[in-house]
Amino acid sequence: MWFRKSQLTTKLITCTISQSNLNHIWLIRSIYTICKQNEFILRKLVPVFSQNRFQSKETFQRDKPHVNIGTIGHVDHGKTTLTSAITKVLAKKKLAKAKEYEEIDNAPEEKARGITINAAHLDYQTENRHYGHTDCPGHADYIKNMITGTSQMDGAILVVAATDGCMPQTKEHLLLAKQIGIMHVVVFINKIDAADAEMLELVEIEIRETLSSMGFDGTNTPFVKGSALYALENKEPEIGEKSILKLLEEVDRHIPLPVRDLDKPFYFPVEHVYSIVGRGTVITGKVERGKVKRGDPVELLGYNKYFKTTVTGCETFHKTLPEAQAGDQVGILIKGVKKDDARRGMVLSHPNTVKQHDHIEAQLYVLNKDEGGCAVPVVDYTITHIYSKTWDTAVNIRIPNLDEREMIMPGEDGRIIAKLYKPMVLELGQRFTFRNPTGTLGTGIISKINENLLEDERIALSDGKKGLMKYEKRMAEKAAREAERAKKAAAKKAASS
Amino acid sequence: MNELFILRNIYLSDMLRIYYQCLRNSLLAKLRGNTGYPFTTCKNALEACNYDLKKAEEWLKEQALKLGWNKAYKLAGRKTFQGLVAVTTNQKSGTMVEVNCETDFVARNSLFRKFVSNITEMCFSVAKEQNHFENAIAKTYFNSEEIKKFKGLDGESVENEIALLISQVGEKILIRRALCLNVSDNLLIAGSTHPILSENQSILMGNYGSLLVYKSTTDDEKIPFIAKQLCQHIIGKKPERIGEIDKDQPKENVDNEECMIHQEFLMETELPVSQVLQETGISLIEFARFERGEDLEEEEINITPKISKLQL
Ligand SMILES: Nc1nc2c(ncn2[C@@H]2O[C@H](COP(=O)(O)OP(=O)(O)OP(=O)(O)O)[C@@H](O)[C@H]2O)c(=O)[nH]1
Ligand SMILES: [Mg+2]
Repeated sequence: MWFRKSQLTTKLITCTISQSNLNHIWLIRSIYTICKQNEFILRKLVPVFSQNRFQSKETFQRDKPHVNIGTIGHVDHGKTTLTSAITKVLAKKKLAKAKEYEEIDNAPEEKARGITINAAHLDYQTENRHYGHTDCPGHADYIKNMITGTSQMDGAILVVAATDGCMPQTKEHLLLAKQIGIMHVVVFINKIDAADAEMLELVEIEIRETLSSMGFDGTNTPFVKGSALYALENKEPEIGEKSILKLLEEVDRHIPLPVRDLDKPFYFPVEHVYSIVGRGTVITGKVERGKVKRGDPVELLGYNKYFKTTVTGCETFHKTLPEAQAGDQVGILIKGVKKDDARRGMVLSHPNTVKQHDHIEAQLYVLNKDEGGCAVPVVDYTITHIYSKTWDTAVNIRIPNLDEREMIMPGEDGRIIAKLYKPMVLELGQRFTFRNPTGTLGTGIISKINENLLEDERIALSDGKKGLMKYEKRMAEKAAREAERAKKAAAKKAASS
Repeated sequence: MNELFILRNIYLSDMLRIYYQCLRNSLLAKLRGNTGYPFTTCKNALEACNYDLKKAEEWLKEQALKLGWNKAYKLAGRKTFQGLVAVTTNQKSGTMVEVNCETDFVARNSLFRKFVSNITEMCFSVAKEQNHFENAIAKTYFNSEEIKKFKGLDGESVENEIALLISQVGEKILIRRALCLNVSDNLLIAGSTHPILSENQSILMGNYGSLLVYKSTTDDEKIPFIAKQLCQHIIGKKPERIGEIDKDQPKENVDNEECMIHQEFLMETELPVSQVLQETGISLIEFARFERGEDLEEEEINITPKISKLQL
């Protein structure tokens, strides 16, 4: 009995890697029967089984560099059709799994940081690269995407139908792309099966002008003309399939690879701090960017504190690491910093690469009730708590352009100015969430960093709305007095001369 | 060799420029530039009019109406949750209108906004013409069927204007509802939207709107400003009713409060609305709140034009 079972186990292990689906089914069945017979063997088999599943699902190997892109463009210009066509054409070369139009269009709602987003994510590869691709159905979804950063794009394919040309909403999408920080766009002029040569030329001129007027490089942006529908339906390969391949070639060439985290300066948010007798202070956390080794000079910043120090060792699971790299969960020993000086929420980093700030502008999305929000609007002078990476602090939220909006309603996005009670290490493009004692209010992305608050204002901040208003009034009066004085001085000067 | 290459490039780019210039001057480009209609539509227009630019433009306008009507039929079944709520008031009269379209892209389009502003102005003139009652509110609620029958500002029927807009933006357009208010001498009206989008100062547009009828014991110039903040409060805190101090007990959890007077004032935490009213001498009479695309009660949708006289 024992003999038979173990023989089966070895057989299963050897056959799993390369067998087809049919075997797979057989495998499941036999495993099922064995499971019933002996639990011990089940435990041994499960890892093999799941590994096998993993391999048959993941047909791509991640040895190519990865780039995230997406389709943008006017309603009905063919974004979804093009996305489907790309997968179909690449599937012929076994570089993608073909996705039907309906599959992409009916992408299930997903939740990211509590926010409901409609977006289809798929992946495919070219000879040189591996791509993650996003297709969003509506404007609101693009905004939510930008704020939550669920599918960041390194570049975009702008789809314009030759039959329509540049429509008002083509521009809006471009503007949005710019705000998300997309600098590289490849244009696909679609539906050329239904347009004539003159139209094509005119559309191209129009779009190049639009691109330039919006701050993109209109002259050097690559243009590809084709018919996504024909590619999908396997008609006239000259304008169908070939145009898709040409497009991918241009995307490969024009959209640059993002800088790998490993190649950036060392950045390590502090999670926990321990003190080890005889060795000093150990900080644990996950290395977010770059690498560090024993002897490297580093800085420890946050909560308005600053220490210059040196790494005296890196270890993981009580083993010494020669070098800690981005992605590693590690403990880092530092020299001369007391345990009480280091704190969760601080950042250990390469010298002079990050700063502490307490005055930021951000784009905020306020969750609605369905998304688990509090169903109350964010108004001017709201006091709440902001969380980002490992730090959190109280903030006072101001709403700029009060004549345009006095609040941000649940389900809406808007620009805010946040004054932090404590300066923290933060950067442009960093994401955060807002929480009340009762729950999450919303999430946001830092869009601008202002000069740090003056000491007076930071003190006023602790008095909430009243304190800030008093401070602002005082500052306004001071400015008025100074203006008055300057005016008098100017008048005096004019009189004397 | 290098110089030759550069020279050739200059020559080429010159040729290209001249070529592009010619293209730009082409009839198709001009027609597209003048009208903004899609390229294919422009081309059809030129072909139908023997490449006469003037005629083609007229033809386009005619066709647009026809096209819009066709499209309107085709799109009839589609759902419209996007759009704008518009509000306009002058202390004594006020109107609030909701116009829907299918996507938020169209809602941001200037053609759509122009249309909404025209409809609002039309409803405003209806509001102002309502009969005055002594010490009362004249209130009329129109549903989409009723508004369609109106004549627009430039004499064209609203129905035709909708069709024209549909041909331009390619989406179903629906004027969902309109509320017209008119009050007698000692009452006042305030209104606001959120966000406050407006091309001209008098008509406000946004995703939410509110109108408020109130009375004031003073002529303080701050009063209209506070009334406007109360309108923002109605949008933000969504009260069910105004409530009466002696009848309605405040809820234990302020966040669940439905009576406006017991709610925390939007602009000031821990300050109940009742206190704001007391301090400023304002008394609330009635309010209305529109949220773009919100679900309506069955009867509200099928409401026939209703003129109510609210005796106070
Ligand atoms: N003639 C022609 N029609 C096309 C082509 N590509 C797409 N279409 C049609 O254009 C329509 C819209 O295509 P979609 O792919 O849904 O466009 P979209 O940009 O994803 O639209 P939204 O998601 O609604 O913004 C469909 O009816 C397609 O069949 C093309 O190359 N030629
Ligand atoms: Mg689509």
